[in-house]
Amino acid sequence: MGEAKHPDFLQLLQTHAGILHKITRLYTDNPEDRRDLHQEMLYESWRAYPAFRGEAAFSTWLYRVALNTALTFRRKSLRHVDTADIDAASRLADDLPEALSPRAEMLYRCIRELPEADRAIITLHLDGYDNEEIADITGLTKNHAAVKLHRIKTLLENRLKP
Amino acid sequence: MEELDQLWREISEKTGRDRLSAPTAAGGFSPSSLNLLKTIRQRTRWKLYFIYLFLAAYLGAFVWVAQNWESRLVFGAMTGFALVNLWLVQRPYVRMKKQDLLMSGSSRAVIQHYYDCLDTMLRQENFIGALFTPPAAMLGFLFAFIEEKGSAAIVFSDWRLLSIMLVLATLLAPFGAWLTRHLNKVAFGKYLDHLKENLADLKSS
Repeated sequence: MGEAKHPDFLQLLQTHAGILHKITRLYTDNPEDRRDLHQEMLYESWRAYPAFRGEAAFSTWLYRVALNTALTFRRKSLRHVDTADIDAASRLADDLPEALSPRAEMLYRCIRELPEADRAIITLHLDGYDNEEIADITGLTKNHAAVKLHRIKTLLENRLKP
Repeated sequence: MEELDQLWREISEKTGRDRLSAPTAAGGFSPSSLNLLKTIRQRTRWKLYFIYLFLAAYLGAFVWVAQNWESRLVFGAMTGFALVNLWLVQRPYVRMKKQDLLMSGSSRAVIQHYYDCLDTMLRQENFIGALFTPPAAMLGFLFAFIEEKGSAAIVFSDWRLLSIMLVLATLLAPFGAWLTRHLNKVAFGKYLDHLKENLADLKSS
């Protein structure tokens, strides 16, 4: 897998592994898909790494690759479009990270219910990326990213209202 | 908003601690076939293999089967159709593969690129399917008639044979158009829709 060629890659990947785990969780509904997506992200980042010039932080670059992989990941649900909603809901319920507080669990569910692109935008924002970086990673204009972000945040806040 | 940040920190901590995988870098990768872009490339590659297969068959017939210049003309024309089809599919495939190396581009750029390549390829193929099916079918029958009658001149002077070819072409034009569209929809439709959906999300204001 090219350790000799890119000895620092594995180390960097290990340091930022949390990014992959978080995105994987947000974009898949079951453990099987999660393993597949995680592998795809590892594979794509390894393949794309030679093109990494270090102009941005490694975490930003990894975010970009991981999100692109997640957005173009053909979920199993695409192959079973007739699956009843109740099945998806029960899978989601089984698949929450352990020991989240009720409010965090609610936010987590709300984010997972967002359209895929919106999920990427809010995830980047909550992880501390500014509008310019979000625009750069997603391909939106800065203004558009800000407008979308505002809408998503309002939606989430409304849903989280007690 | 502060609450969102606080809750997100909690989620990040919990999900970040997760150690999903078993298959880590040290163990090597066995990526699944669930990657949409990879699936599109795979299916386009299969399409290319089929075109190569038919191209080889037409060329083989041109060299070894056709006994006279009229038959050679028929197979030459069919080879020409296959070459045009090859050109239409090969070009976007090569472009898709190039973008494959640029996975680290912006999400919109990567998705838009794949969508454009696939959409253009399918639209051109659908058009060519409608345009080429009638003459290809006519050429096939013309070859059979030439083999039977011995010369194209005899075939063209017989109004019944000409009528058969004309009726076939008329009937096969809509069928060819439908079949090409249907097969492309089966092979690529849901992937194209998925890309379109993501693009709409990234574009809508």
